[in-house]
Amino acid sequence: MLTRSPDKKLLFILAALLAAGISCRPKERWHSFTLLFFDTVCDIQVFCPSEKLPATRDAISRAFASCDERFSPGSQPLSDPLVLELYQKALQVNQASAGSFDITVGPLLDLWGFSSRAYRIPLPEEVKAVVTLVGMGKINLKENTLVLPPGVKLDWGGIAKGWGVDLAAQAAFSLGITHGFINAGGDLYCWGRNPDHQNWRVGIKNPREPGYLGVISVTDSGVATSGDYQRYFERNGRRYHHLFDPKTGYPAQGKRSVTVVGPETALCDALSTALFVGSSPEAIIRNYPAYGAILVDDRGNVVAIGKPFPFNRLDRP
Amino acid sequence: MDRRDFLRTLLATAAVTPTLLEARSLRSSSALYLISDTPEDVLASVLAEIGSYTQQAGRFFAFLTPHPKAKEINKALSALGWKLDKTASRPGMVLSFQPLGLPSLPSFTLIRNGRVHDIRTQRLWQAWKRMTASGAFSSCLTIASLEQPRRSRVPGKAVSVYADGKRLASLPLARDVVNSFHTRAGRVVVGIEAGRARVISSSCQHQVCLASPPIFLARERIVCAPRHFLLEVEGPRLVDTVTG
Repeated sequence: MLTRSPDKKLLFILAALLAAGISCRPKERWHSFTLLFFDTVCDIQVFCPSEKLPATRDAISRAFASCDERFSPGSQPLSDPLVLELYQKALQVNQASAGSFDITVGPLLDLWGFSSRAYRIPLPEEVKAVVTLVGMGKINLKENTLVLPPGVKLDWGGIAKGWGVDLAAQAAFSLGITHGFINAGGDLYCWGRNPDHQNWRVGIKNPREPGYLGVISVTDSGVATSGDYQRYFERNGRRYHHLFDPKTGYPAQGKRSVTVVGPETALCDALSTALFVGSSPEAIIRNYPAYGAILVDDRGNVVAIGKPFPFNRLDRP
Repeated sequence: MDRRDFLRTLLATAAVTPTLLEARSLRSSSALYLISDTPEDVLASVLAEIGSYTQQAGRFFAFLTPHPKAKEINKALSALGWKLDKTASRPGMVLSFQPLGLPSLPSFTLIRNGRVHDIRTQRLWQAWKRMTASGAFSSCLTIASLEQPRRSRVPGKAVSVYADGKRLASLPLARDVVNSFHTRAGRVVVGIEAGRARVISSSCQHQVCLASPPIFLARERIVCAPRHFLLEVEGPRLVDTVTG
């Protein structure tokens, strides 16, 4: 009669326990859902057991809501710890970009009608007067409170959505979600592998035509794009968009879109604006060696700067 | 029909056919315009005759918009060695259909790099005479765009309607329809016409959804954020998600 040796018996027991453990583990599968925050559609795709989906959805919703409450126009608690944290990030980008990124452009958005959608072209003297209210140097931080002089107004539109995505991604990580993406109106973070077990394929919108400019292949990265086609109005055949040069008070010229890829979506968001507005984007991105960008200039030329990442052009044969 | 009539037909076609603009926007430098209720009878022989213009297009063809004679055209072109590319992802000839607002005498012409080419060789002259023999007018315009750049999106077959985060319906793009949808925040009316979907009316304040152009390519969408409403064309994913 054959008897199992003690080692083989132990191995058998361990294997049986392992098999039981595996069969008891909830089955993970891909889930997609949409949320509405920041006045836009937020797309989320995560890989997790179905039982975990409600908690995941709630955690992401809470993260978005916390940003939406604090940074939407008209509701900006200036002593809130999250607000102060984002202010520091914004200040850092403002300094690294020599002022090209600036959260005090609120009065310019009001002047040109972007806040109310009553678009208008202001007189040069109106622009000159409002530009005196713009500049992050005017903000004071006193006893953990942001102090704004009269007339100075904050607009967090260039960084808050990206920050919301980062917070939402952290909430997903804390629940043990190992693969997924969170996309809030084009500002996104992706991690792990896509359903095809590849890096995530992120399409960059063509700034002038339907379809994509190209596809980037990334993971464990934030991505954000600023473009002159996102919010604009036209007068006499000329386009006026929402990405203002804080120094002149007029929409920045020379580019159609900028897409930034890097570890934090909030910084991608802010840098996409800074690189769009700034006259020396290469100098700006040198301050962020972990970040790369795709720029489309006003003639449609496409240039990659900063840290390289896989990018496949699609808009030409 | 002499050359003046030919151009007159073409100009009349241009005046009533917005698809010309679309063909231009596709940056195709050659396009064949064919007015006929039976394009399958003529298309294959015209393409064979203008062979040098079609060489760059390769041997794949795709339908940009639903075509009432798709089946017949597919059969006729397949006989010539063309292959239908259902995903429209390869460079090749792209066919689109546009009903003419004003019926016209059957005809065909080639526009290459912005210039009109009379392609009625001896053989095609006979074909053209057969097309116009009955004197019957046609409302069917088929545009074959040649030298198509690589497509970054494919046309979809249906559009999904989402309200309050839930998928309510899937509407086929091939069927013209007007549907009203109620969300917790208000009403949105969607229309489908000539293979494209758009928002016809919404009770929202800024009406951004109404100003959005009609959608027909896979994954294109129209959003009415105040009404928690989303319209998205179904179709294969070339990408996982989009920025911009």
